Amino acid sequence: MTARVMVIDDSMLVRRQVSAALKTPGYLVTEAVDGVDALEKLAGLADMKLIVCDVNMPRMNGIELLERLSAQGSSVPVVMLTTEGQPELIQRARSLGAKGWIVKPFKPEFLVATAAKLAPLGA
Amino acid sequence: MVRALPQDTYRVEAVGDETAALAAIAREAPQVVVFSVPAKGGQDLARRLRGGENAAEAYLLAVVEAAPVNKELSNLLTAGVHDFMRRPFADVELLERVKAPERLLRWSRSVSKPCVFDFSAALDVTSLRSWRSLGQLVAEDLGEMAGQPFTVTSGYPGHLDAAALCASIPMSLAGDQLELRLSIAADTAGCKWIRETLLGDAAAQDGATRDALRELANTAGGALKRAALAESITLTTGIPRDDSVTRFPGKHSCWTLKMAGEAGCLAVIGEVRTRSNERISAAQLTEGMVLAHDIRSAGGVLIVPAGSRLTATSANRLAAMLGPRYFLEVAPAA
Repeated sequence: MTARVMVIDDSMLVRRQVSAALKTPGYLVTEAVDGVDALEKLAGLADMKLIVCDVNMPRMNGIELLERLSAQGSSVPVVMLTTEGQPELIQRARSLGAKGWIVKPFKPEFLVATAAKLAPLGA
Repeated sequence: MVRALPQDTYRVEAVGDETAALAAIAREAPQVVVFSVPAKGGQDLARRLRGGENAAEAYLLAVVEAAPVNKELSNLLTAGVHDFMRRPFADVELLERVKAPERLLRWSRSVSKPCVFDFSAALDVTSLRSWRSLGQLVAEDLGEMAGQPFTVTSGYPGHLDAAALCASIPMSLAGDQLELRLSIAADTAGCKWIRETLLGDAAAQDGATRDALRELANTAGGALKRAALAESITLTTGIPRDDSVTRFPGKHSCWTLKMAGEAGCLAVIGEVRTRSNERISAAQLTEGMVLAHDIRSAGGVLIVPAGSRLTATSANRLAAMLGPRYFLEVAPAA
């Protein structure tokens, strides 16, 4: 069994690192460069099981994307992966339904454990 | 009690009994738990609430029917209650009591990390502990990212010329007219190290190396922001970009991060200068601008706080919501 995960980050390096970490245990990864790109790609992917999302991105940031997903009634769990650590921002993301907050630089095994909890491969 | 707490600031859940309370605490890990102390067994109830899953860090506020006598008060405090209030109470008292843990946290930070702020002048960012230790902070985060340590020395690497690859992240101090720029530059051997170690591809294109350098600047900005936050200073950051090593005319500090062996080095350059805010129409808002004051609805609800850096989406949304006849103060996009 596998599960599809979307990785949203304007940095190619981070997308590559996150994708590599998640592909190792068997996740299928779709990449997006910002919130606008993510919304366009999500519209065509009904089987998304998890979203890993940066906060600071051009065009539409991660918090704005959470607002959109919340307004759409999306049930896909979202984990924020960011250099930000402001409590107000974390609280804002949580109130918009985010399921986790990981501060960069991240440990791949921690990211995989988070993914396994929110989007089990065997489910 | 639920009505007394503003919904835009607090997420409040009300439950009717102990079983429901323990389930809600386990599920939500609340920061504050307000509970009524029964006529008998208040200490035991407090102990069970404190011992519940996800309750260890909750601030317990007990509501009592009458002022507890010394023994009862001592028992409640021993059981893990932080504060209590007596019925009847006004809404404003409940609100202030719920704010108490936040005040305590600020106080704790202020005594554990002593610092002095002179509000009569612009903050000297370079005097902050986080700024002075910036080279080490960045080295720790980049070292964790790369899986290998750096040796940090103060000063700019002399052999790094103007042609070196460089990326920077613009930063602002919320509520103040300061502009910061944090840059990471790499010498030729440093770029090779980025390709081989971070990208895992010795033949990676120049564009991929520049992207990695931008992410290094982003990571450095995050390290500074989190350290500054521990000194009660809130910095906001923009989007990292390719830049040159040409410096601002204001203050700057530099560090050299050397990799092991002959793998080259990275330069960390922190710069700060003052700049003037601009007063513009909401219709002129664009991506990258930083709000100098809170934006609130007609009813006083906070929409966007001061210090927020606008994205294209938020700039367009505010422009449409506020209209061209609404004027506001912003720091220009860096």
